[in-house]
Amino acid sequence: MINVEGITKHFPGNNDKTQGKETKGVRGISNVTFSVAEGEVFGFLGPNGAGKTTLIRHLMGFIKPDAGFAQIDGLDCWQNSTTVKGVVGYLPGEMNFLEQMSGLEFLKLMSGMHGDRPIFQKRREVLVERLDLNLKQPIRKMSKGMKQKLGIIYALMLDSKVLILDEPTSGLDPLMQKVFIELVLEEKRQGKTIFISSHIFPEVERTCDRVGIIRAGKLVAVEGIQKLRQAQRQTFEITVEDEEQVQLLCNCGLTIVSVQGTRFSVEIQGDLNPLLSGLAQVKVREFTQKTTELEEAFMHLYEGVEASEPGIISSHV
Amino acid sequence: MKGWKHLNRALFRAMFKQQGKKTFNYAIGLALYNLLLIGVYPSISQSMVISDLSASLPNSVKRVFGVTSGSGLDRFESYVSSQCFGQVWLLVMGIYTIGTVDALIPKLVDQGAMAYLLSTPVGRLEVLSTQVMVLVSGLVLMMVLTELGIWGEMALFDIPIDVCPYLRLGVLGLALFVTVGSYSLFFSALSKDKEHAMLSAAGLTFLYYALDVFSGLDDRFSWVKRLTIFGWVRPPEVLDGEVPFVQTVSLFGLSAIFITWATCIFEKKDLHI
Repeated sequence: MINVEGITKHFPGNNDKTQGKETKGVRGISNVTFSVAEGEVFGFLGPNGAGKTTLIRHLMGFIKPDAGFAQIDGLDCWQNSTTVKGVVGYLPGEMNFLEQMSGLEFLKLMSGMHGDRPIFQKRREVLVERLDLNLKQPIRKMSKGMKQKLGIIYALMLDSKVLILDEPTSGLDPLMQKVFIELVLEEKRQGKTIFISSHIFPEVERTCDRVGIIRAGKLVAVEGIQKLRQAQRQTFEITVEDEEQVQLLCNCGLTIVSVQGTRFSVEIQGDLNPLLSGLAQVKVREFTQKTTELEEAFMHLYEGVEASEPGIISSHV
Repeated sequence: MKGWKHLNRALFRAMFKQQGKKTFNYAIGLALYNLLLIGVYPSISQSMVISDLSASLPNSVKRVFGVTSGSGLDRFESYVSSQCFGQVWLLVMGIYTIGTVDALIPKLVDQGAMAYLLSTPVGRLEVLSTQVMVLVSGLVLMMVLTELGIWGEMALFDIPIDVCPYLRLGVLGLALFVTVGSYSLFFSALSKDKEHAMLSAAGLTFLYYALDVFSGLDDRFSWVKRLTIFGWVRPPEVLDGEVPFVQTVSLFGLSAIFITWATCIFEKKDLHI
């Protein structure tokens, strides 16, 4: 459904002032290749300035590639951009609406520009109820979270075959993040193809089938979510009753990274059972979990490999 | 051109509604200003002091401020052309035009709201042509409200007028500001940032304005009038009965060139939205 083949776009090394933000030395993206199958949810990860938004701009036909191409539903995203957008629901990363309008006026405008099908209104009403947003409020008076909800309603109300969502839960509270994940899963069950750019692990873990990571304009890995889960390191900080119990756990073969009296940190990658078996033998007073960032976990998985092979690491493209 | 035949109705309605409030505010401001000017006309026209004053003005000052014939301010058409369609009118209309172009294209691109408009199956050409129509409709509304205001105020003060020259002047004024809007649009399509685009548009408009004033300072500089689009619009002559056919067609032709040029650039341009 989404096919990106050797997309390359280089920007001059000058400062690029876009949407009020100034980025030094933007290099663009080089030879990015991947595809997303119909009905698949694809997560796209990378640090700021890595090229995530540049790739999304190519998918939306906002910029012309220097080399390569991007296709959606078999159509070139630059040459057939108008037709392509007929099948795409898009949530931009920056919530810059037409500020003088109310939420309802904005959604009506977008519906009108998409051909004003009756289903838009039905879906809009359902989404407004689920995301709990007052559409009569002027957009300029909305908070960041409210604007994000409005953007999500816009992208999802169109019932499009393909969804391109740039940082979709940015600014949402945890409750609304949960609602958003449910909505994405529902869209997935309906066979929609979804492309999500995100940093938030639960969002990606619970929704995406595969994840691609971009660094310095190059796609360095594309991998299934299962492998990512295994790669994710988790650190637990545990306090037990006495130092003897700490010693007991050390002998269980756990990776203890630090010990301070009865308090210690243990690092787990993948299987949690050895930790749970060990803890069953002691009396736990305090237990806290620290999860590594998704991107960090992914890069940890490819440490060393990256140095020897600069191109795409995964063959699951 | 396909884009001109297919304006987007939903976008036009929304954008015209957004710009409508500003347009009415400008038009009401101009109408009140004109009401003030026309309200004092009967006393000015009968005042010997004002008549003597207008006769004593140097020719260059008369030319710059559009005071025609020897009788100067004692004729209503002369008075209206110099006051209601004088330098203040040019300035207000120029600000309105450049400000509206800014709100319709560069500001939307710069702030990123254009991403929403272009995320729909409405092409760039269609979006741009719709925005141009919003601009032209706003300018038509401004001209209509300005002229209706003048006619209403003249009826209020029982001053007889011939409507046709005012209509011709209205169309010529529309052509002038559509031209200002079209080159502003061209600069916004050409430039990477909104500040640069608007500075270029305002700079060129000021240059035209300055050349127009300069051309009126002395007969030796009258040829400069041909170099500026403001020199093509002479309200005193039009209200005195001249038919400005060539000027009107030339200004609309120039607008068509700039708009076509702007659409060609905008269609191929990388938009970082």
